[in-house]
Amino acid sequence: MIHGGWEFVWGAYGLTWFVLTSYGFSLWQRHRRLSKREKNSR
Amino acid sequence: MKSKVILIFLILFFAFAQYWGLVRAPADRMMGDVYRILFVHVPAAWNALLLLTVSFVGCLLYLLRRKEFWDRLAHSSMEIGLVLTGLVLPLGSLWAKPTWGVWWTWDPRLTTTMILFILYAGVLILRQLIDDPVRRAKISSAVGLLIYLNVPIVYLSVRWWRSLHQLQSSPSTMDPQMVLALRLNAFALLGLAVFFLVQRMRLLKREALIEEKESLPPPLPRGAQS
Amino acid sequence: MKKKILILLGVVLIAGGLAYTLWGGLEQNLVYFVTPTELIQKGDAAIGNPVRLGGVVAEGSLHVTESEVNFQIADDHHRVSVVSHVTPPQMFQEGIGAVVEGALQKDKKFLAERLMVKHGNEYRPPEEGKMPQQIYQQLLKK
Repeated sequence: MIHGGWEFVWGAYGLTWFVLTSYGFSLWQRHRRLSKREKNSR
Repeated sequence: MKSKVILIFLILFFAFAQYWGLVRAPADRMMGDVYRILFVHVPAAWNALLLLTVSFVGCLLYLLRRKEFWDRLAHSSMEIGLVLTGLVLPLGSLWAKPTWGVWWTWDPRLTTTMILFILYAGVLILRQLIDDPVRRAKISSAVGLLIYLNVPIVYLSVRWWRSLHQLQSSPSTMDPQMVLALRLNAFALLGLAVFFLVQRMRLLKREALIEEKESLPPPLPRGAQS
Repeated sequence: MKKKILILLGVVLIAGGLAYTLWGGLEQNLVYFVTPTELIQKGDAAIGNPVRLGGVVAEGSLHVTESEVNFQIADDHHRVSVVSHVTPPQMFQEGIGAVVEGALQKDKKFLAERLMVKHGNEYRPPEEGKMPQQIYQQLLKK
């Protein structure tokens, strides 16, 4: 049985949070940019 | 406002599922605690393949019905499916190193997944190159249908060919506590993926409206008619 | 015009990638590893050719010293003796599935430069005083 190895587990869970948060943030950024464009095109 | 409440709920559920996987599920008799990577790796893989399947449906229905909605569905699900595929690969590496002993090997499952990532990244780049929305939708739907062929290949690769990657687990090969943790995590990630999908489609719709408005000639100033 | 060429290029790239997936690149990966029986069937032709060898680490064959690891990779019919100078992964043990990379030497020993453990799809909590009974027959599917 493998003992330890928690650094891999934390790495994996951390990476998952990082990727999901980054993608969510990029959606929010795109939302803000669109709102600006909407204002300007009016 | 409403979507903010939903998002907070989804994040809490996601954190709860991960707590279950990290703390409540028992250790594995072979892999010890390292096997807990399964609870992020497998849901990411399932949801990636699921979203790419949704994109297949979107591509097909766009070609049949020619409604922009289906192209937006295909585009959005492809993007999120690609993000998840890009997540599965390093998660797998982090699991492979302590258990298999290597970060990477060209085994059929890993090879086909890498190809999957490149193909879908290719379509999304292709979309950037076409300005005319109708042409863009037509071409990327056709290509999207074609490359979907690789999704069942990825899924079945571990059954068809000899590989280092293990076969799919089923409830009969896992402890019930682990099955529960896996299901919780799969649904938690599915919730987030669907949330992203809806938001991405909304963005695309707004973008299309703005572009339509901007392409119209500017209105004549008042009193300029002669 | 430039756009058209770029689009064409994109389509060609994707189609090429797909064709590669289906017919070309996977060909060698279709046979990710050979079994001991297949390796022995090749006879002297196998000597010196880099290959992956997969099977079960035979019971009673694993000997670890400071400088090298000795064991046998077995399938239902044959065994190949393997020697390696790399540190095996933590789960490496007798009775477990393994894939090793290297080549058969003139002395009919397989010199492995990479040792990999194949884990089954079974996940169970540890039981007091009981050794895992894993089934590795699946490993040798044709």
